[in-house]
Amino acid sequence: MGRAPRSPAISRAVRILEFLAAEAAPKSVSAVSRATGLPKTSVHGICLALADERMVSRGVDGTFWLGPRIAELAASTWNTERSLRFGLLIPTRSNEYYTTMLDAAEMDVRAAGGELHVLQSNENSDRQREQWMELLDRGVDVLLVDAVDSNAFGDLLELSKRRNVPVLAIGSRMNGVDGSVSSDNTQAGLLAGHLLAARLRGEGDVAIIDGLRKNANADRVAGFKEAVRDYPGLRVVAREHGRNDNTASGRSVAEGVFAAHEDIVGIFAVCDPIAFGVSDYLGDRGASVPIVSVDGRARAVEQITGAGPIIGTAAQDPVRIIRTALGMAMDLAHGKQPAQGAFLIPVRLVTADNAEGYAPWG
Amino acid sequence: MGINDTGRAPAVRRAAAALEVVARSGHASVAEISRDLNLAKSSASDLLSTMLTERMLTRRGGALVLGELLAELAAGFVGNPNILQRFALYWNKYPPLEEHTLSLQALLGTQNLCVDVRIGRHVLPYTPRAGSRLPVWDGARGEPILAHVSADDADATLRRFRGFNGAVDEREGIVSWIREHAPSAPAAPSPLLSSTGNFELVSLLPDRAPGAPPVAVTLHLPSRAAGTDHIELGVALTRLAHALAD
Repeated sequence: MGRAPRSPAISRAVRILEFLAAEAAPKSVSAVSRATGLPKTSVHGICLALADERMVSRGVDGTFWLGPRIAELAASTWNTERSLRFGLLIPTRSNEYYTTMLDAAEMDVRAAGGELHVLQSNENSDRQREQWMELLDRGVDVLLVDAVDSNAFGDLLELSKRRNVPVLAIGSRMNGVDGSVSSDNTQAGLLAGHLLAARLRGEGDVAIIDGLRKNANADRVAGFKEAVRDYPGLRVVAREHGRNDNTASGRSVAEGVFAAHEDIVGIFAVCDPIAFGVSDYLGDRGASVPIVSVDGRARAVEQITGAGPIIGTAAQDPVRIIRTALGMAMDLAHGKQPAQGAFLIPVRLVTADNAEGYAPWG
Repeated sequence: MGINDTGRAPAVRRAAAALEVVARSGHASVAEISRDLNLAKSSASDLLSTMLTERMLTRRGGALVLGELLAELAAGFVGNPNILQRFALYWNKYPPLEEHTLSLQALLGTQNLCVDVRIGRHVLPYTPRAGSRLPVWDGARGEPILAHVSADDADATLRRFRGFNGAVDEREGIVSWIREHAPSAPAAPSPLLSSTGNFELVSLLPDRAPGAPPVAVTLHLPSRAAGTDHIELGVALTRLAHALAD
């Protein structure tokens, strides 16, 4: 049971104002009393006090309705830069990429006097769908989505449009959004592919360990394949999807891939956590097959500068991604269209030769 | 009567005064409100605690700002809270409109209430402000908004607000004027002169909730200036009106 208000007359006044605001026409003291359950004498006294303050108007017939002061105060509310509500949907918090991103987002939104509503879906598309609805119902002004599945939310994009809530895709692009900010994932795959090809001197069978079916991963794979096409001696003999973008998934997929293809001499993992799973699997077998990946995490850099088997990672910049996205989101929430619809944030390839000058995240 | 006098509902009057302090500067500390209202710290604490609970105020950082309740209450003027929110966010979304003064108006009986306004760069004979109420009928002719309202809608709001329509119920005169002057079909938009001295382009919001008053978005011009593309402005205004009501 809630605590009794310290100034009960104020709470009664609010009940009266709420009742009048919900009515399409002025109401008598008796009608207000009936609707609110407050004594008529109390309603009458409060309505007269509110009328003195122009918060209600009094008709010549003794009825009351909302007064002009309410419009004045409400307009002041909008004019004092109402704090924007940013909704942010991410696949998981159990991932340094997202924790790094969230730290930066919380700092920037707080500095802007806004509110940040973050929900994570454990990489579950159905759960993310529910959360998308939840954030719309919470009344967010703009929604930023790192989609678990880039192609699964067309209807929610339509619904968001009908509710005038702009949607930005982050990390992975989606059709139908108001804008997107992601790493240049094709470039990431391309750089990783050329590094692996160079290590293998352009010869041998390689495999792609893929993850969630999202645009970012597809672009990375496309970039990797583009690089491989420059080396006729390299053959992509397997491309397998894991159920998630995490270490357990990488390990599980690696087991199947190496069981089916014993001659694999190189691996492209679409993200560092998957690469860690492959690395763990190879370590248990006492094998060493060079792995290239995407992300730029600290653990990947440890392997790159140590004994491997990860030899390179195309580093994303999650802080720059979210800061760029929040800037676009603020413009969109104020009705301004961004200068361009999609921002691709460049990546940098981290190898043993340049890791010393790289500050990893995570 | 001062806010600390023991008249009717003194706590309500203190709350209104506290809202005034916060609205004036955009934000205020507990100490500032306490000082401004000449209240003891404990009394101010009780007052502000209840106002926070009731969402009349909210905390932002270390300061108090106006709370969400006020916008929710103001939604009663237009019948849909989304309209106010969208007007605040989208008034400059349509490029031809962004330099002009736009107001959101609700027709409440014989009064045209300005619910919200965004001031443009043109100096106007009359600058609308939120909360201002202007009569729409001078006994002989109607304000521009009446040229856009159907006789039935005008009749309905005049009946609902009959206690607020002044000493003489002018319902029949207004309805007759509308029937005589309202265009039978949408014509090319042309600014109409208001009694305020402003020329006004008006676009009524479609699809309002049952019982809600007629609501319009109005573009204010200093003159019927030659060289102004009223068709382009009218199209943008209509698009804004539909976006607000969507």
